[in-house]
This record gives sequence, structure tokens and C-alpha cells, in this order.
Amino acid sequence: MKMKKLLAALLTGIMAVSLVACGNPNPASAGEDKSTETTKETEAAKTPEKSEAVTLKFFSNVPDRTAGLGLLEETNLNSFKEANPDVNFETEFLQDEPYKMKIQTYMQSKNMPDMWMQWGHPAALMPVVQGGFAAELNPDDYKDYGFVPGALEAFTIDGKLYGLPKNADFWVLYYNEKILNDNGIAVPKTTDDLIAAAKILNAKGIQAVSLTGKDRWPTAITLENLILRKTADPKAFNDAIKTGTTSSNEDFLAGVNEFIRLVDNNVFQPSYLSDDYGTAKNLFIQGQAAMYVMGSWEMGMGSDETIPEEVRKNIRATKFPTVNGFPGTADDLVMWYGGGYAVSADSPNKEAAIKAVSHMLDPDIYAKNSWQKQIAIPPMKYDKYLTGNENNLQKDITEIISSAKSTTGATFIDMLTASFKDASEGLTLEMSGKMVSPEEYLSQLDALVKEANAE
Amino acid sequence: MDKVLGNKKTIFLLVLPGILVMIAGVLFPILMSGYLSLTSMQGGGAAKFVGLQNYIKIFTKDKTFWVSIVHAIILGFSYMLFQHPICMGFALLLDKMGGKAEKVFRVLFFIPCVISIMVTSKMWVNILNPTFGVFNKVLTAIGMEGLARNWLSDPNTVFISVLFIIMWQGFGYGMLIYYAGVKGISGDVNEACQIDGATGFRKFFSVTLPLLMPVVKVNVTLGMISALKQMETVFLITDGGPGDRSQFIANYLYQQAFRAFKYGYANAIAVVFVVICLVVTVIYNKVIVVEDL
Amino acid sequence: MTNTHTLNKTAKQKKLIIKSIMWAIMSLFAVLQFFPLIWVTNFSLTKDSDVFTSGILKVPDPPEWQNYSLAWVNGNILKYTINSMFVVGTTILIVAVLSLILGYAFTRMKWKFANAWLTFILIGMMIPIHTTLLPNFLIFRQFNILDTPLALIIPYVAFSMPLGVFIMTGFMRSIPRELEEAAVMDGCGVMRIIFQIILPITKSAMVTIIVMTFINNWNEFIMGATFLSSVMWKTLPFAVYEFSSQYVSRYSVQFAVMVLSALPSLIVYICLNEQIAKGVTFGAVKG
Repeated sequence: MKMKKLLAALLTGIMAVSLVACGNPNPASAGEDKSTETTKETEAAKTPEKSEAVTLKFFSNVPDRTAGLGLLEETNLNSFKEANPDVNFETEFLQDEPYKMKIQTYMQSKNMPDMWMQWGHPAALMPVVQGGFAAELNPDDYKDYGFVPGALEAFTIDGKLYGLPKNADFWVLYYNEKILNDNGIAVPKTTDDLIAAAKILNAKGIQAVSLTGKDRWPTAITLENLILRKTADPKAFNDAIKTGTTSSNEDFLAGVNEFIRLVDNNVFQPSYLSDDYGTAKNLFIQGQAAMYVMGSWEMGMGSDETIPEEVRKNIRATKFPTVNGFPGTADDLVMWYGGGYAVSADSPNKEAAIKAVSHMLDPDIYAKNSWQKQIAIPPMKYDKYLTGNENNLQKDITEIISSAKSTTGATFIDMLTASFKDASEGLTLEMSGKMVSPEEYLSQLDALVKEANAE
Repeated sequence: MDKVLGNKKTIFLLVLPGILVMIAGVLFPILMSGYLSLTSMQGGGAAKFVGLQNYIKIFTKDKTFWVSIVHAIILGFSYMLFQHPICMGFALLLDKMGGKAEKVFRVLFFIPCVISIMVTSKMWVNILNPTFGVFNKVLTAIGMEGLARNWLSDPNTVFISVLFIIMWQGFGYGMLIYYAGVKGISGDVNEACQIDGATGFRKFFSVTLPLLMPVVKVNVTLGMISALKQMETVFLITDGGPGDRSQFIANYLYQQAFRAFKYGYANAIAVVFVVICLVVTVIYNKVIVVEDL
Repeated sequence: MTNTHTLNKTAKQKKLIIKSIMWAIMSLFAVLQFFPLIWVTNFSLTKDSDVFTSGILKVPDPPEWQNYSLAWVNGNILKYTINSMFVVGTTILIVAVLSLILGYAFTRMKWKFANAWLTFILIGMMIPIHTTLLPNFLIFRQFNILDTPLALIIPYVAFSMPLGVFIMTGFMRSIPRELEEAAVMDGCGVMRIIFQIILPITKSAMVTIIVMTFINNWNEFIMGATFLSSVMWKTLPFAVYEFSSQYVSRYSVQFAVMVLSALPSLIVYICLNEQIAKGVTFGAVKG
């Protein structure tokens, strides 16, 4: 009976269209015209032309707007709105991987949002600059922002500034202090410590170090840390990548083998190759894994109310471990200026957008909020915003960055082109899944470098 | 009669909208792909004409592309060898049950088909997770601990796991079509068997199966098509990895375009992909004649 | 007498055993099919960390209903469901009408290149929708329809119609011509013949087309993710995808969103299950 009613309704619909079709030979276009009209209406509703109000489209890679970096962005946007009531923001947000794909579609369609999160490394920045999408910014405007050396440079190409950095990112080892204490494990200083800890923890059904392999870059960056422990010198590391000579470099092979040794000793959770960012993080914050390798931007975990309290208050961070027999120290830091903001060169509201990003990164707003809300390490001097009430995690992170003796700059996957990034990440995963041998890995990596340099 | 049904103007008006849809929605984009595939278009940058370079690369250097094709073919055969016989078996069983039970089971079997792939994929990823997933727990519980694995990250099992999930997803749909076929012929079957006196397996092979052949053909066609088109499940579960061990063409195409930014190259993949689909159709029509195609 | 009696009894027993085996197999498979739904519902009501339980399922104690309120509000489920219904509904309507008209033109009308054009349309069945993703992006930008429902409806229609035509032509070939002959004698136009005479007869093929178009497009999200960006038009599957990255650490809330997003199609299916089964029956056998 229900079906009869439904069919009747459907038939009426079809009849209606067919009636239109009598006058119009194309029923499809009749249906389509209608929806075009609605679209136009809504578009008109979105941007009222008469009033002077401006709506800026902002595209962010932080989907969670209620905690951490997302909350920080919202706070800073609101602060701008308060000062400029006629400006509104329409924020779209996606997590990293979908974000990258979406921003790519915007580029292809020459349809950039007014302002967006822009990574500073060449693989991401070059296409944006070459395509003429990013507006040029005036470096003199940011003289008093107190950016640390190297930060603005990351967003500078051929002497021109195309974005403002918002994060100083570096690789750390987060750990759950309680789990380690309960199992009589000291904070790991070397990879041998990690292996020993993994033995004890695995026997109790606890994962040692949580790592994501489905989002592939963290695996590649972890590998970079280990190779760096051997080369000790970031410049030597970067040069070998850029010239495509890693396979003739004994240090690289040693680093890759060390990574394999960690995998073989179950230091990472067994499913790390297929676990995505969320799963890996969850293992750690739900107390299933004792440690977690990730960037410093996850510092906000210490104040994230959605994390169970017994885990949250025990989260600490330490330097990425050294390797016995390798010359590198824990103070050789894999660090880069990752995220930042860029403004569309074609935006009809370019001035307003530049004003907005400048405001969001104003040290009195950005550095202060990011530090005092315990969310991120700003890429600018923030000592005057220290409160003395920092949580342990913040103190740990500060200690790591302030004792760094050398830093790398862009990670190796990000040094060249986007297709190099894609291919080298995939290759790294194949190596860690033992589908290619370490030797084979390095020679294929060199081949990818040559291909990228030829482009 | 012929005057009305042969009226050129009416025919033109009837057929035009459909043809226009095909031209606008299928033909034109593919021709455009063909054009773009001859360029070196990269993310944002200008398109440079490079001739057949992209195609040469696909045919000489791109291992992943061909691995993806092989995966699709294996999936197609797995449908035929595993999914279809199981579907048909259950359709027959279901038909035998009769009554309320028949209806209830039919509803239960079809449920995965109407739930978003997003949901079922997330479920399977969790179920197969070696750290906390249910599947390994069940294996351990029934004393088959030796079989427990990292189903989705072990290069040796990832493809089988993905095949299984895809087939699971399509099981209800295939079964329903076979079930439909079984219902449609049950009268003829009984009649023929009464004359023959056939029972059991003989009944199945000499009477039921031949009568079901048209349905088998439809199901095999649909299976072949969906094997080639596979994208969503792989995209969500493994994204083709680790390496290219669970890669399928549509997903590879997407990655090349939106992650590696090789727009021109991705379009070349699209064109070769279309050609392969058409070639498969032709071969397939030669081997298994589907009357209406 | 006694002999036949025991014979009957063993036969009965044998039948009973076969029947129980049948039931066991069916139930096992039903559980395999149904289990994930139970699983996701179960853990949508527990605490986030309960997913890591050592058991297979876990009794929610007490049930965390706020997961659902959070999911409903922050997941924007209602809005996205309506969007999905609009897009898929429009697609179904256009596909149904076009399949009917084309089916009629190809099987009933007499014209020269009917077979060639039919092949042209049916080939669309074999072409994967994803191959048009990239060029469509440029085309839609040119026509300014990115981020509108049209950007989804055009490819959905173009790739669902061939299957619709396939089913419809197969079905119509089995309809006797006498019906229309009378109508033509009465002076009915072709449009009237199609919608008043043919349409009611093709009901079951129609249901098949509707169901297939629904299933093929309801879950599609790559196009949605690529062509849409504003909340205004985003469809349900993409919303789930987006939500699970937004609430990374809130497993239970993610699961609640999944349950909520599965509900519309589940309800539609259970209500219409009889008709769907019949419809698919007809389409499949005749097609």
C-alpha cells in the first residue's frame, strides 16, 4: 500500500515534468533550469552587494574548531571580527590529506578562497606561487612581529614573501608518564631503550610507540630522524637528498636499517602501516600506547578536554631518541616552518584578507594565545607571554626547542616537487612494509630525485 | 501505426535529451581528457603540449598502473568464482525456506548494500585492526590464533582482505538478483522436474542452472563493471597501500591528479582506462553474449 | 506397517537435520552481514575508550546518549540528509523519465540508426564515472556550476541513465504491441502513449531503475568532495568523512554519526523491501 502511494507521488512528478516537456522538447533541461535558479538565489543571499560587509572565505586544515589549533584560529578570527565588525568569515575546514586534495582542486579551477592555510615547504608552496595564486606580502610590515630567523624565509621565493608562518614544527616523542612508571620504564633516550621498552609493554598487551603509516608522511619523517642521527649534520643530509646521492651514502643505509630494526622489534604498533592519523593518535590518547611520535603541534593534547583526564595529565614529551653508535645527538632537531597563512592574489577583498592574516599573526594575539592557551609553538619570540603556569607538556616542548643545536628545515619528502612527495612517501611505506630492501629503497629514491629535478 | 511510430520529428525530440546528456556528461569530458592528456599540466602551472609522452610513460614505466589493472581483473574473476556461486546458493536456500523466515533473511542479507560505504569501510578497518579489532579476537577465541594477522597492513594479506570487504559489500545485491531469478523460474523448474523426476544436484545442474543463465549473465556483467570501477572502498580502507598492493585504477588516477598534481598524466590514465573498459566490453561480448548489449 | 512407519520417521528426521543445517548456515551468514551494524551501534553508545575493550561487544553502562545529540547537532545530519535527498531525488527523477522515453524510442519507434545510438548510450555503462572527474572540474568551472547541486546531478544522471536504458529496453521488448495499437487508432500522441499506457506497465522496471540509481549515487562521495565546498550543498557521505576527521579523538561520536547517516536509507529499505525485491526481480530477469 505504501508503495502505491509512493509511486503515485512519483508519477505525479513525472507527469508534471512531461507536461513541461510538451512545450519544451528537453525535459532534462527543464529540471536543471529550476535548480540553477535556486543556486543563483542562494548565491545572491550569500554576498549581499549593497551593504559594505565583506565575507572572506577561509580554508583551514584544522577541522576541530573547539580545541587546539582550531580553537586558536577561531579565537584569532573572532578577535579580528571584533575590531572589524563589517568583515565576516566563511570557514571551510578539512583534515590534512583531504585538505591537500581540495586545495589542489581550487587551484585547478582558479577558484582560491580569499585566505587559506599554506604549507611553507617547496612541494606545497611552489605550485601556488608559480600559478600566481598567492598574493605578495610586504616583509617590512612584519618587521616588528619578532619572527624567529628562518621563519619568513620559508615562505619567501625569489626574494618575495607569499605567506606568514604560524607554526614552528619539530618531531618529538610523546609519552604517557603513568604507563612508563607503572611498568618501571625510564623515559627512552636511545633506540635500544625503545626496543627494551617495547618488550616489556608488548608482553602486557600495551603498544609501545604509536605511528601512522596510512597518512604516510609521519613514517617518512620518523625515518628522517633516524638517518639524521647518523649523518649528524643536517646539511649533509639535505645535500644528499637534493643531489640524489643517498644510495652511495653509507649513513643513509645505516639510518634505514635502524628504522627496520625498530619495526622488527615491534616498537611500532603492528597495524601502523594501515592506521591513519586519527587511529594512531587515539591509541595514544586512549591509553593503548605508551608513546607517540608526532610533530610539536600536538602539544595541545595537554589541554584537550576531550582526552580522558587520566591520560591527558600524564602526557609528556621528550627529544627523539638517539642511536647507540651513531654520532648524532638528541639536539639535532628535525624542524621546519610548516603551516602558515596565504592570501589569494585574485581575491576581490585582497586588502581585507591581508589585514586579517596580519592581525591573526600579530604576536600580541597569535603568540600570546597559542602559548597561553597551551596550543602551539609560535614561530616568533614568545618569552614575554610566559605565565609560569605552563603545564608539563609545554615545558617539555619548550626545553626541546630551546636546547636544539641544529635544525633541518623542510623534511626530505617536502624538499622537491609534489609528485616527488607523493612518490617518495609511497616508496618509504613500501620499504617499511619490506616490499623493497633498504638498498633498493635508496636507489629508487635517488631515481625519484633525478626525475623531480628534471621536471 | 507506422506513421506515428516512424515520425522523424517525434523520434528526434524523444532521443535528443538522452543523447545530449551522454554528450555533455560522458563524451565531452572524455574528449577533453584526451586533449589534456597530451599536455604536461601540473598543479596550477600552465599546460605545455608534450605529445604522447604521458602515454609512453604509462606503457613503458608505470608499474602501478598495470598492477591496478591486474587487481581489477582479479576482482572480476573473484566475483565470478566466489561471490556469485555463494550468492546463487543462498538465493536457492532462501527460496527453499519460504514463509516469514525468507522475508527476514532477505532483509538482513541486503542491509550492507543500503548502508553508506563510508560506514561499512570504517567498520571493517576497525574490525580488522590487529591491535583492538574484533576479527583477530574471534580467531583467538575459536582457537585459530595462528591465523591472526595485520590484515590490512601486511602486504601479503591486504589485497585479499580488500577483496573480501568489496565482495561482502556486494553480496546482498548479487543475492537479491539471483533470488529474483530463482523466484521467476521456480514454476518452470518444478514442472520440468516432475517430468524428469530429477532431484538434488541433478535438478540443479540440468534444470535450475540453465534456466538461471540469463540472470547469471546480468550479474556477471554488473560484477565486471563494478570490478573495473572500484574506487570508494579502496580509497577509504587502504588508499591503495601499502605500496601498490591494493591499488585500483580509479584511486590511482585520483592520487596522481590530486596528490602528485600530475594533471596531464592523470588524464592520460583516464583515457587508457576508458579504452581498457571498452576493450573488455568487446571481448566480453564475444565470449558471453548478452542479448541486449 | 511398522517398516513404513520407521522409514517415515527417518525421512522426517533427515528432513529436520537438513532444515537445521540450512537454518544454521543462513543465520551465520545473516550475522556476518548484520554484525557490523550491531557493532557500530553498540560502540556509538559507549565511552570513546571502550572500542579498545578486550571483548567483542560491550554493554553500554550507562548508555552515552549525548554522543547522539552531539552527532546530530555538530554533524549537521539533517541538513546533509536533505541535500543528499535533493541531489539523488532529482537524479532519480531525470533518469527515470529519460530511461522511459529512450526505452520507448529505441524499442518501439522505427528509425535508421536506432541500434547505433543505443550502443552509444549503453557503452556509458562500461565507462567509470571517475574518469570524468578531472575534465568535469574544468568544465564546471567554465560554466560556473561548481559548488552547486548541478555539478553532481549532471555526472550522476549521465552515468546512471545507461543502466536505466538497458533495463528499460529489455523490459519493453517483452510488452505486447497490441496495447498501443489501439491507442494509436484512437489518435493518441506518442507522449500520451508513453506516460499513460507504457508507464503503468513498466512499473517494476521503474522500481528497479529507481533502486539502482539510488544505490549507485547515494553513497558516492568522491564527486561530492571534489565539486562541493560549502555547507550549503554538501551531501551525506562526505559529511561523515568530514566529521570523522573533525572528531578524531571521539570514536563514539563518530560512530553515532555513522548510525544516524545510515538510518534514512535503512528505513526506506525496510519499508519498501517487498517492492524492491519484486522490482529488482523483474528488472533482472527481463534485463
